Amino acid sequence: MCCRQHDNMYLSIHNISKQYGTHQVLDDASLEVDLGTTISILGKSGCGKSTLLKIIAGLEPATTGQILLRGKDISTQKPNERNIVYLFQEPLLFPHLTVFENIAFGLRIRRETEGAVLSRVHLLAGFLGLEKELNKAPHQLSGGQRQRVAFGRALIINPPLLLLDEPFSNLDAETRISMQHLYKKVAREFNITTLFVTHDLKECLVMGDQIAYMEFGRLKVYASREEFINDDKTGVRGELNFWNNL
Amino acid sequence: MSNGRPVTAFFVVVWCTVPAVVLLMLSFSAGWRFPLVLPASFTAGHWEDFFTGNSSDLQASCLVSLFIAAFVGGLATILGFGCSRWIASHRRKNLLLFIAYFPFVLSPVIFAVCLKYFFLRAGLAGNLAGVIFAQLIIAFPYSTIFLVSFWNNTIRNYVAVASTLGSGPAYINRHILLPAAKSFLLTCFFQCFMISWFEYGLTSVIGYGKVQTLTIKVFQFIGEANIYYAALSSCLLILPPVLLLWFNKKFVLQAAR
Amino acid sequence: MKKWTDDIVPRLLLLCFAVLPLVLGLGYALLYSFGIVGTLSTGVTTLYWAAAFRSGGLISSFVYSIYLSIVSICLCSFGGLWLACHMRDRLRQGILSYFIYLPMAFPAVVTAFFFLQFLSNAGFLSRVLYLLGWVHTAAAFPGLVNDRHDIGIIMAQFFSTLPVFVLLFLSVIENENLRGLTQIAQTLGAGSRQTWWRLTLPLLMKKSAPTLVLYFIFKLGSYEVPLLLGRSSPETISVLTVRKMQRFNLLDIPQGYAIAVLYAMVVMLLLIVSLKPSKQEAYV
Repeated sequence: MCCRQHDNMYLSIHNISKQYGTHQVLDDASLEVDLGTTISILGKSGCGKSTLLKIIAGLEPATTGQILLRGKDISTQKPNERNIVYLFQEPLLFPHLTVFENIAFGLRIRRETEGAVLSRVHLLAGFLGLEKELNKAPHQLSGGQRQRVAFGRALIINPPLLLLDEPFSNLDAETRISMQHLYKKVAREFNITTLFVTHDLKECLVMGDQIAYMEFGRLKVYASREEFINDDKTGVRGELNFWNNL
Repeated sequence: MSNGRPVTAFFVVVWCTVPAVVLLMLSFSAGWRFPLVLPASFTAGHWEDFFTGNSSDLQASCLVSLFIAAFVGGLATILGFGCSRWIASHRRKNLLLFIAYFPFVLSPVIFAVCLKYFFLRAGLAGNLAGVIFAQLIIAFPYSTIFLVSFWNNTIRNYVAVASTLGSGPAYINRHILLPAAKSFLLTCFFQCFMISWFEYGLTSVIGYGKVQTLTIKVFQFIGEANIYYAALSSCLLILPPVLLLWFNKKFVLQAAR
Repeated sequence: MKKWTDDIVPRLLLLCFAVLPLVLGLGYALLYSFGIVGTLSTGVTTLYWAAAFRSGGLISSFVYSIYLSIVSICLCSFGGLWLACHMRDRLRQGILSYFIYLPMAFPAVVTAFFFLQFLSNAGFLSRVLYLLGWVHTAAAFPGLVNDRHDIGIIMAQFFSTLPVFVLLFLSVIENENLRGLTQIAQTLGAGSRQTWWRLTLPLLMKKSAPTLVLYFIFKLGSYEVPLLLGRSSPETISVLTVRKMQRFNLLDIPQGYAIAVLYAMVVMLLLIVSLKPSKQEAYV
């Protein structure tokens, strides 16, 4: 069944494993994602979620396994040739560049004309509510603003795939919710395909069109939301019982 | 990628160690005439002279240098600790730091020639007290700048928590601040010790050649073309910092972040 | 409740060890250079300043010192950057992490003495070349100390300052999470050259700039190395100032003070440049 789907799927990950010495970080992880969908991966810290994303981005090599993007094997490509953008927990804005230049970074790398850079940065900044911050230095921004700049920097190069590694975990509750809404809006507008990693159950349900769960390096993808909710180890039932028994 | 090739590492080690090796060799040498690469003979005589006290007051110079450096290091650290606390919480912190930076970055020898008149008038030229005072003019601002970074928010919060738990200032100083600052203070002491130990220009101008520290001796031996004794005093000069570097890099590298 | 007397001790300390020496020293130098005080005081005159500018070697000395400082700082920045970026792990642990800092154990006078013995006509290098048959007399070896290309001074400065710069760049790399930023740049499409030119180099230079200026100031005032390894003309600022002050010709002394005042003003300006924009202490 899985083989039939491979050809049509936007992103296919086949049997990825990763070992550090004797420690098995990822154990035969496989995953399929359709164009324009967001898949949330829930898991506790240290379960191997970040490693999976880094392997997809090309920042770390897998011990075994294969990654297909639009049917093409990218497993051996360098990170800068994959066009896949990885967003860390920390926004990691370049401290020596202004907000404008941070967003424009990918375009500068691709040697876009000054006019194109100007118009695209302004367009995106408008969309992300950053017009007034463009000339500021990263350290002058709030946490939420910084994360939006990191989004802008990623989106401007139209990446075929976006990898989000708990990007909202360092934000306060209110900013976090507004960023989740912003992300949904952006994802719809730009038809982005995303792997979203989180340890927050609610965020996982809010963000994902499809949901997966990771534990001790093993990845389980659920066919439906109900299946995810009914699985005891995901913790959803426990959470529901708590609220119902209040 | 960030590890470099072993051969490059080898050349870096050679570049850094050759001077120490050559100086050590010269201090054990006799008859190093051109074109000999190695001296005609090796001798422990210069070092024996030093240890038995027969060598142009080198032993005395070493003790004088040690005394001055220890005194300057200790006093600068103690005074700098108090002063840095005041500056750290001052609303014009940046201005005060600027004032502290200025004497520290000025060329000591130029500073010394400008101050010589006042040292002469105060009877502080050509004696130990004068040299110590002059060196404190560089070492004290340094220790103040260095220790300002100790007084960060975490330390302030510790002090606040301790006070709300009922500790008085003396208790806080003894049980909170001193233990927390121990490594800072030790590093600062060794840094100031080395500022004084390395100092030449200021000492030569204010000391009038009468306070003969080791650095003064090196120059004197170079002037007399006595390279063996110059090398011996050089070795004595680099010995304490090398030992510090070996036992605790932090004291020398001072990573004042 | 805080009493005003709490502040007295630190105020006095700062006054006694920093403010007063500065005001007295520079004030006296200024007054002396204008003929207001001193053995030759004849009332206000700009004669000594004019003389220092015209024939006293002031301008050439400043240009020469600035040139030497810039060359040393550039070489050390280049070497330090290269080592910090290419040998990061070796410099953090293992044998190299000790040896690279060995030059920091050398006082300037010892560094100068070593290079005098190493690079002079009859020095260590000359003897090694003789052994290899490349030179046949001491005089045939090109003098690399007190030479017109300042090779001795520059090598000595490079030797003593390189470890400081390695340390500086390593700490910037660590503090700024360069590894994470590099990964981001790569996923945004930057190749290794682009990462270097657009991220690593500008970031390190920007973050190190205040410290680089500070070291420029230190080099500008360095004394022992140019005194032993420098040529007789032009001289660096420190060497020239001290020589003028020690002259038997009394007319030279006010000129020496004029040079000292001008030097202090330049240092003050540079210090303002170095400390102002960062609003934080440099890595001293």
